[in-house]
Amino acid sequence: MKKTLLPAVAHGAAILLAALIESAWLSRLAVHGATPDLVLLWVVALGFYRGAEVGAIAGAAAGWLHDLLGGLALGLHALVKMIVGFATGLLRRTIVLEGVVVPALVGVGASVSSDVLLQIIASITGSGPREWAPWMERAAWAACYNGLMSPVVFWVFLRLERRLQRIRGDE
Amino acid sequence: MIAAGRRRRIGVFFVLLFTITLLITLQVRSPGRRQVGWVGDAVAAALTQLQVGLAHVADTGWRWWSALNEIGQLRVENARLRLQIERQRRELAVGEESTAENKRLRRLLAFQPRANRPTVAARVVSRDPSRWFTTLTIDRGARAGLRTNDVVVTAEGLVGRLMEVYPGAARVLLVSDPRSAIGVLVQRTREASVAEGLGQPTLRLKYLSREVETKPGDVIVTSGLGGSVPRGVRLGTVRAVMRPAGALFQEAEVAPDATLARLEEVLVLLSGTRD
Repeated sequence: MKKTLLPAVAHGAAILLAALIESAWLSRLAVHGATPDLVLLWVVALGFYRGAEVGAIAGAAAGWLHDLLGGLALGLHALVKMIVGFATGLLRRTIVLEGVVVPALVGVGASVSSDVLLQIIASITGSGPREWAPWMERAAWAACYNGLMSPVVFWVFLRLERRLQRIRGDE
Repeated sequence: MIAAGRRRRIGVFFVLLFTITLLITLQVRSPGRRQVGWVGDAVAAALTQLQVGLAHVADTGWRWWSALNEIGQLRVENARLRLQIERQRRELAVGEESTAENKRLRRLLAFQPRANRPTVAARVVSRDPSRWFTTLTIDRGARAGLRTNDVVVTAEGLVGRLMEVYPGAARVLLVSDPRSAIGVLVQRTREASVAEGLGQPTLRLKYLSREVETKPGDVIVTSGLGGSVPRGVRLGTVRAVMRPAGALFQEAEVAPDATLARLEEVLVLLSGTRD
């Protein structure tokens, strides 16, 4: 395989694995109905480290996979994750993802933005919530869960990025 | 150079935005608000097999984790009792699990004759990761004779219907999903209504006549209208009745009898007309 294609393949595989883990494993560890969105966090990390274009493309592909696995209309999560991926790419020069607190806050922010966007799009397409209070409660729990998971996901992401850089450096 | 990069970035964003918006528009116009196509079906079929595999791994891991926890607790006790209690607890855990499973399966089996349709038992292997929409995946599919729209139940009551069927797995749209609407009857008054999912633990009964009194505690069963869901399957119990002033109809909140959040095994009622 060409080394230039390696990052795309590696991140594609990581997103697929995250989506499968999320649906088969983490769905059993729901807190107040909320589960962490590992795919979203990976897209956010890609946006931060590889720019808005990559963030948007990865977000669209990852969201499509999410819709396919979740039994939803194809495009709902694709649109949400594409916008979040693009937006994080634009913020890469403003925020430095170091330590634990900043990645956690980024995870919370991404989770809240993603849920708000999803509700707006779902409402437009006629599948939005009929009662907002329980949805908002679950969104709050999901934001906390994603905030806790994001330092771990970003750490794994960075390890993969360094590995990919080493392989490309050997070229 | 910077301006060219910015233009390309914005170009990529708007191309993706347009493509996805077009895709969503096509999707929401199709039945069930989802049209995957044969490529999507093939990818989903492969991925659901992986989900089934991962679920089995999780089950095994969970059993090991439970066993490790038990061992950790028993360390504080003396050596002789520790060995004895460890053995007893393991036996008890296995026994309780077997008893609980036995009880659930007996109730499922007892339900079969009432359903008056051929049935297939299945295990729940994964749930919808999106939080807002409520679907789950079971480990039986077309190879076991399942078809789209087959009804899924437990001994407690209606769970949902199959929205997608793959060779070795199937996706269930739960009654609580906002896309679900089922024709029902209030058992006591025979008043017809529609039970709609809200994306939360309770359902909403709509179009109930104001002239017939519906009370908390009334049992709701399926009406059988439309043919896909058999008549008389228990759905839930009325929790509250809303009579908004000036409205033509009254509405009611229904708690499903099936514990949708903790389903482990379900029964699929095969539809009468097979392809």
